[in-house]
Amino acid sequence: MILIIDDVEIFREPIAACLRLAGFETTCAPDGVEGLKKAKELKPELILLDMAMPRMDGISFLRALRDEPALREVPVIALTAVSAKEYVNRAKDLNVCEYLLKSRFRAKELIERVRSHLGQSSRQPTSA
Amino acid sequence: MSMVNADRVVPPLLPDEHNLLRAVAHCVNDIVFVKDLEGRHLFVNEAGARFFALAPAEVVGKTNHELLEPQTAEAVEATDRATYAAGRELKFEQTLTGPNGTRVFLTSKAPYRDAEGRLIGLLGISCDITERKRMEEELRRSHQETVDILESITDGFYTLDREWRLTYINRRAEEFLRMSRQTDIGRNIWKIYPDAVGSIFQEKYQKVMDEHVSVNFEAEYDGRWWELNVYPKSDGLSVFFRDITERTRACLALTQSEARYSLVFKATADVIYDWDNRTDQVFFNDAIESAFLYSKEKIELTGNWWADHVHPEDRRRVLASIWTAFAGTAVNWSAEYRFLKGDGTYVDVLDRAYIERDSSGRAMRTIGVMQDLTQQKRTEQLESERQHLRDAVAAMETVLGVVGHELRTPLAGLMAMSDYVLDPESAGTPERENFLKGMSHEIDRMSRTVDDLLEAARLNSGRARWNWEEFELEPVCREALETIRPLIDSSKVALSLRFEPGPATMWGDAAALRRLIINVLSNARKHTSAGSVDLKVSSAEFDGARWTEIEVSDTGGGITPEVLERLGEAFALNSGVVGSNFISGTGLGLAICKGIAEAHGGSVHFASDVGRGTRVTVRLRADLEGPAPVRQRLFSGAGESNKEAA
Repeated sequence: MILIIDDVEIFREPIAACLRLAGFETTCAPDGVEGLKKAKELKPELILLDMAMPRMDGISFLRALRDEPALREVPVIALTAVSAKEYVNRAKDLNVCEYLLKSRFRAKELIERVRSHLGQSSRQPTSA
Repeated sequence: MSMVNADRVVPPLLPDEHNLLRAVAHCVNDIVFVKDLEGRHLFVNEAGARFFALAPAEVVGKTNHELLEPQTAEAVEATDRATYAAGRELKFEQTLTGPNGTRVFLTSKAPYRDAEGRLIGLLGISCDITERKRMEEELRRSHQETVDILESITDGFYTLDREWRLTYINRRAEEFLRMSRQTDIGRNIWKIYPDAVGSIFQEKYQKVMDEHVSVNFEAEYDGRWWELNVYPKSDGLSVFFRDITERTRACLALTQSEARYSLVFKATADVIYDWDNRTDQVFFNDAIESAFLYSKEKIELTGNWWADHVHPEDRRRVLASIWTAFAGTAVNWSAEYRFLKGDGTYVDVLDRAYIERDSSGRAMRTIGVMQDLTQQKRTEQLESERQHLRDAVAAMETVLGVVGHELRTPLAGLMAMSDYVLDPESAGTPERENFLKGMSHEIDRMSRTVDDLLEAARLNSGRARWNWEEFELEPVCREALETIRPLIDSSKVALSLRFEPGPATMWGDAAALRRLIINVLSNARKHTSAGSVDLKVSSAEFDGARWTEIEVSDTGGGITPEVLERLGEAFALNSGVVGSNFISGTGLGLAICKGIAEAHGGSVHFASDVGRGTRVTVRLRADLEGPAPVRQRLFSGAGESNKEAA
């Protein structure tokens, strides 16, 4: 189960759809508050997290996430529309495994990254 | 009779011998006298008798007590007694007063003995030294005076003999030359100052010594400057000298400072003047020719000439100001005004002057500088333009960052959607159809954003093209309303339009105004899920101008004050300045609205109550026959407040 948290629907939904085509189970949330609720409830294997969101932004979400013992080790890939630089320092110690810049990657590449963080080899999707 | 007495006591002499002596005694100028043991004169010569103002015969037989004042007589007898007591010749200097006055005598007295050696009286010779004493005193005093003068003068003074030995040094010379008269008198000056050997000093002294002429010269010695006057003397030379270091320095400094000023005077492009307020004569430096293009020979160098060339619009003010300054006590005066140049053009000058006054405070002389401000103003203008450019570049950089962000988000969506659509495995899925529509929609949106950007940029740079005409407001408002109507759920939101007092016309760009109204209505629609969106257009006249007011009120969620503050500022809401989940869009739309309103001589105002609704008021001049300049800087930071004035 992969949790995609992003307020931009036209990005969030096709990304989720692509991941599903690749064999992953997905669930989506439009902001950090919803995302946290779903994370606690569904215990995702990996989270794709937009950093700039209303209500609860990426940093606040990460802090809350790492406070949950059960969610402390969930890998997070951060997605930003601007440079990742401003987040790298602020998200220190929050265990972000990768920063990806929106519009700089295609769906295939994202799927590769997701697989690699999940310890899976390519072309061997695990269905949940 | 006296002769008899004298004869009686005088030792026997040959008659000739006796007469001879007597004759000799009468001839000499000194007083010769013989007295007996009782002090009676046995003999006195002519000179002696003159002292008593008597003839010799009248003196003989008389004592001094009978001839002189008691005090004088006693003084004489005292010396007589001393001589007897000594038993030998004694010398006395005595001041004695006789009938003819007071004289000074040098007197030799000796006991007078007979042939057997018996003491029989006293003989003496008195030399009148009154004149000599006076001369000596005179000489002493004169010498002392000279010494006193030499000691008191501020010049150093010393004398040298022909062997170059110091014979006299005054006190100042001791100070100046660090010499001492105790140790240095008699020493050879070239031995005392070996470093002066071969110097100008030795050369000049030698000249005085050899040619017996006086010499005046200035020279440096021991780090100081000296002026020397050297005079020949029969036995050497005398030297007067003084320390002129300060004077020399001041002189040098003056020369240098004068040279500097004259250089400044010549080199400066500013006009420097020196105005004699008593005669009205003005001296100008060369800049009056080089900078102000007048020929000094052809202009009248007076204050009147200056006043006549101040710009007529400035003249009254400038003259009033300077005459007030003259009449008062100020020493500084300045004014900015336009001054006519020789080529008939005016130059902006800053005139700063110093007013010199006499002891009664009357202005005597005014020295000033007329500085051409044209260059300075141009520099200021350039600097201001440069700052403007820097601001614009900084604003553009912000905008580009935000635009990057603004376009990247839909681009990322487009990429993801196209990736899905292109995946063969997506064939036949319901998402495929959705994403194709989504892609088309996003492409439209991005295209509009690009249009808005370009339009905002045109407004911002003042290059917007306007189709200016007088038009009916009603059809414009209806078209706008009809554009919005399909987007509204008419079962939940009521849309209305009314005119107060009735439909009107205005001058402007109808298409731009339609765009403005659509934009405002569209914002209202987006944020209103139930209630009404009302468009009200009113016309009014005030302050002698015709105005059109377009008001859009909604019953939507309202806008928080912090968002309200930044409305109409391009990208403000997306650039992280204000976080909001309910405002979306670039902010370009309202920025463009403000630009359009400004071109119509108007402005856009917002008023909002969170939870109750928002009212946007656009006020426009209806009677402008051409577009007003758009000053608005759409891409810059905080502008004027958006809040509706109370």
